[in-house]
Amino acid sequence: MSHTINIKRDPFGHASTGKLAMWLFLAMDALTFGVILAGGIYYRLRTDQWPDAGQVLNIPLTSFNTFLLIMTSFTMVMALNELKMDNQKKFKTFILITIVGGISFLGIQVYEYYHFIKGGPELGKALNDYGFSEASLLWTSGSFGSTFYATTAFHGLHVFTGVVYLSVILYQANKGIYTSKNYDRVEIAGLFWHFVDLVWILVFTIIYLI
Amino acid sequence: MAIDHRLLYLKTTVALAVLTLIEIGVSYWNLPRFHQIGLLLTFAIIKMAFVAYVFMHLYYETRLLRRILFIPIPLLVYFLLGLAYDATFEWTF
Repeated sequence: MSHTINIKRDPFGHASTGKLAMWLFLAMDALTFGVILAGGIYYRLRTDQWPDAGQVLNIPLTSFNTFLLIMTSFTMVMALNELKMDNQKKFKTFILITIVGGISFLGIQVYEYYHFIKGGPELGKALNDYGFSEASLLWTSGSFGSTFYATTAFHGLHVFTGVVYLSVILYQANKGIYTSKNYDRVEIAGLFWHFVDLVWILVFTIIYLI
Repeated sequence: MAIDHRLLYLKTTVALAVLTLIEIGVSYWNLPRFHQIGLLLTFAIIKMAFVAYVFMHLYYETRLLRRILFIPIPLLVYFLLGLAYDATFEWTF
């Protein structure tokens, strides 16, 4: 009796179900960000109360934050690389640096918010030049304020989620769960973290530079 | 033993940092608005592609997965370019 074996190639290659699920989640999340940014662009078209790049928002500070996030993407991918090479100590160190980088990013964002909410004569003058009457930038400060806070806060929530996510990964790493043969969850967490960086590239360009 | 990609990741990080610096320079450069927006969006897309392909390892994924993920992107880019064009010439609805 002869047997026929049908071998079908998996259209998704070696990607695990967890990885596929994360990719699909990220595609959906990207569309959410896309809609928020498109909404901001639409508001910008409909109003004259919109400061030019660098007049109200602090480009040098945010540029530093952008470099920081790029560096955390590097440390995240290096963590996975080291894990695949079975360098446990370097893997944990890189994860820890990524977490610290994420917290620093959030700290700078909180400082930026504090500066805008507290306000001051210099900020007030810059805002007055564009038709705002307040001396501080709030989420109620027209379409500009609501777009700025909605976009950056939504992104900040993602960074916060990423920090918590990576902290759990580090906790599990300290328990010795991950090895060069078992790194799928680290790779999936990395996908989320890199996505946060990817989205920031667009947020930084559209909200701060354009 | 897994392949060591350290150099590739380092080069990508440097490329991202350099592109960010150029982007910041372009934002301060007194260019016509349409050109400035076009340049900034182009740099942003290149940077995003670097992150997706190298850091997120999209390069190593199958063609089907890449296609699924890329379907919404042209629509979004088209929409953003349309709005940028509109903003440049100050057309209103």
